[in-house]
Amino acid sequence: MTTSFPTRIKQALADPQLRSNFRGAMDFLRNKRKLAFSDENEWEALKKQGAAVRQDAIQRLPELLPQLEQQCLNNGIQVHWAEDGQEANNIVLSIAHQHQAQLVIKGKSMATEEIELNDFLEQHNIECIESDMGEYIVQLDNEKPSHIIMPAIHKNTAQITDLFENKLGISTPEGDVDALIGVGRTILREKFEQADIGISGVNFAIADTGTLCLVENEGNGRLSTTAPPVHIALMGIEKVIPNIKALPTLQKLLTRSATGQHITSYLNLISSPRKPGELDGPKEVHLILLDNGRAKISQDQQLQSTLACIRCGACMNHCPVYTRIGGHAYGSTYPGPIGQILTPQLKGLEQEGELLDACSLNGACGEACPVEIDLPELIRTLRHRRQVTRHKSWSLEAFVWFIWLQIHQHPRLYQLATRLAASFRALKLKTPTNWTRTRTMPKPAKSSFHQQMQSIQKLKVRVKNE
Amino acid sequence: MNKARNAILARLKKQTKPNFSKHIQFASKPSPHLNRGKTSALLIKKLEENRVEVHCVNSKNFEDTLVQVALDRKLNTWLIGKNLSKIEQAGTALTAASPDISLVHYTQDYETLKKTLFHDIDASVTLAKTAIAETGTLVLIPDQNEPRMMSLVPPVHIVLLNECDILNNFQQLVDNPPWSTQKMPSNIVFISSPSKTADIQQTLAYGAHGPKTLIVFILS
Amino acid sequence: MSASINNRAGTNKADTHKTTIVKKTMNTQPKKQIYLFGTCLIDMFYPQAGLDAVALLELSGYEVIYPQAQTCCGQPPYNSGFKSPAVKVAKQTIQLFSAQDIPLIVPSASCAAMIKHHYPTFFITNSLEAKQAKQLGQRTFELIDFIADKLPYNRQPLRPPIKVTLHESCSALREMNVASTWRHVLNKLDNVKVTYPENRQECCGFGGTFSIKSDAVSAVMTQDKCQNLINTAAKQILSGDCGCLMNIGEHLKFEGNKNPCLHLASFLVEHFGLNHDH
Repeated sequence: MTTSFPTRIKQALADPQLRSNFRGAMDFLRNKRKLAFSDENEWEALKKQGAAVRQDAIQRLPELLPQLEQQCLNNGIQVHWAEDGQEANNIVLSIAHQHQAQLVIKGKSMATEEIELNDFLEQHNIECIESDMGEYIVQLDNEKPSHIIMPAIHKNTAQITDLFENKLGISTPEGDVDALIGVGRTILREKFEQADIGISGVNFAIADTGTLCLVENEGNGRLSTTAPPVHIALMGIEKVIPNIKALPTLQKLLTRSATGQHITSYLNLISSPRKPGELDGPKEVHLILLDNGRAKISQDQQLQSTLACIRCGACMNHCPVYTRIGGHAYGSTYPGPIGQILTPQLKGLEQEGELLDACSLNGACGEACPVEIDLPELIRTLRHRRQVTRHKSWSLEAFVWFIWLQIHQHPRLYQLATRLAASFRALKLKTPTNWTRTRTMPKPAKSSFHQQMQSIQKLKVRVKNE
Repeated sequence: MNKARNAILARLKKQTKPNFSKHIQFASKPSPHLNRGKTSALLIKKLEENRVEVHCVNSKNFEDTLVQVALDRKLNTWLIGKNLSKIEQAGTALTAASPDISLVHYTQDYETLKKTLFHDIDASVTLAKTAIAETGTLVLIPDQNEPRMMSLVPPVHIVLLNECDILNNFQQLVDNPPWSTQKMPSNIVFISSPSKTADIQQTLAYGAHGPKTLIVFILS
Repeated sequence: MSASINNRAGTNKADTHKTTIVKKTMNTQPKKQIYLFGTCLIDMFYPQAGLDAVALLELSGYEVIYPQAQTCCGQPPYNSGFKSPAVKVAKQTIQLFSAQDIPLIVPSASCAAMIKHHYPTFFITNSLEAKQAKQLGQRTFELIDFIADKLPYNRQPLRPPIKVTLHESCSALREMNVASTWRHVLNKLDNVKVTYPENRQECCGFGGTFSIKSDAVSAVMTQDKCQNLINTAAKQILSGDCGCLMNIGEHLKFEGNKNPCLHLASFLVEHFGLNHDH
């Protein structure tokens, strides 16, 4: 990133179109989710089940992943393991080379964004087209997704209409969303027909049957994983669940949290490539199990619950910061609260720790999380880890808290400091500070609560003795 | 690759935690108790809320309604599967109804039929294995007789569902699935509405990539 | 007795008033004791809210113990990632309020949450310190939540109708889950109409050091919250958290408005006529 996080924040805040687009979108999504979970008791019960399933799965990863692998192999799905993004990209490339693939069509996958697969393939002269409407739109505009569920959420209809006109030379009537979707359908249909490889993500992988579960509304996921002769599914290792019994609960939590739908148009369960006698479906199915820092997270007891995430987007939808700065400001694949927690862990606290500052710890994210990840607590923990690893060099902030501690650990000193502040209460700060740019300074009271309680106490004693 | 597998598993095994194994109770009983009639009614309600067209028909003469649909909407080229008596019934009735109507039997592989599938088909009709009332969901198990693309590529997709096959909720289905867990079907599809998207300014639009029209015939 | 105090040279009206209150409380029957944790914001900036908290607690039948050695709950460094100073102050605070096994009342949902929910996580499970922290947490209450069912609602003095708006702080909504109690209490007050701002559950933008470190986005959040509160056309903006009130109030003043913010405790004292001599 060429600009800093604070700069990107300021740019976003100064963009009225962005502000309006995100405000509208987040309010819409919050309301939809609220309606979908209107039964409080059901929400509580589902959440607890979801949290338990995810926690159990994370803690049994060493056992579930080999089981998933074995079942997939039994079913005819080829399984690959990738320690990092580069390895995963190379696996995709080698499969592509084996098939002399020139065109790859993608269903939606945040994991492929994380490893920057599209750019990698383009560098190797393999065309890589996104088929999810939102992803297609951002790809057309040379952008990254700004939300993990609705990639083009930062754009409004007018902006997309202009984009299609500029980039595709296709005009559609003003405000006609159906027409825009029709354009996408026509263009991408051809790609589905022609593609050599289809690449998707995985929402959940069922270990005991070797089954990949994908949810979607558009049908591009099914087309990407059915039409091309080769299907490659890229999955973060944390997405495995032990058996199908948990699927109804997780599906409900995912779709209701993401878009307020009780179920998406399609839920697709893939267990094998085209079987003998079958007439369609990919002839080869590959599953790539991606680590890229996740196994390390699983080792950390305090941060392990990061992996419970089912990528619903509810946290960012409810985040008042994300609502105002949008997804691109974070400069990471995953924005919003989950991004602030995941990105520093995947890419390094040193480089990405600054993301953690953009949080008021209001707790709306944790409240909305359908698998009960205590997101605010994880943010606090990461802030602490960041401070601990930094303290080798004196920072101004560390000094401030050092002074703070001296004052607050010693009651007499504290009361003296309060009295001093009170006596300077008339002083007005001339230089603008981060506070005083938009607020007046609070005035210390003439007599602190301590002092007033002290005199009341003295009065009581006097009264008693009379 | 083996190196990666070993390295990843080694890292995962380094977890320090108490052994967490908790029996998780998933509610599968319908609540309140729904009888067959109520279950069907719920399914219909949910389907219609999601822009699915529903026809309740007698299984003996469902094809009359099917023919009507075909004629009303000028659906002329039909994609059907094989070896299924209900589908044969449907196919026969359709071709008898009008000289303009022709059938494409999905009997050759996808590669051979691709162009036809993508360009020439007006509608397809398939069976549903079961359905889930609580969410208004049809469950299809594509196979040799009814390949996957049938419910995906045509702009209009018609599903035949036996009323007696409707379940109340998803949990019931997974607790007692109508498939072998030892030999999983290559593909199981849960369909709850026509293809749609709200990716453009949260505005709902139908017919993104999958069928734009979904019609269900509930046969009793 | 009273004459000699009132005639003391240099006595001002406030002192007289205080004396009256003190005497009133002392003249009644022996009361249950509770601790009060004043919070540093109340201490330095909003002592009246603290006095009003005391008045409400006494009205509800309690004797307030206010250990003078208290300072801050430790939330500012803790939320900023500086756990060590927070833990040191926490240990001190726990000791201070563990001399007696009595409720600890806090006129701030965020400070209450710090003591109740976060202190116990600072220490090794099952250690003595952890047990003490847990024990303290179990008897820690947010002020309004504590007195909600003890206020003499049937003894409400007549008052002119007033329209107020309630800012439900994040800590009240989530960590302490007392926002519904705040609403409930206000709804029981005669001649008080309560309105709520649009996006009522959204953070006001204070977040402690967030308002300094992420000042750009904090400013926008504060601006939005203030606009939504103003749009309710309420005469007063109430909340149980001084951090939020300070953030909102000082922004409104900066924009050239009056500061209509008031702590719930102060509003209730005013409502029940406790600040007048009866």
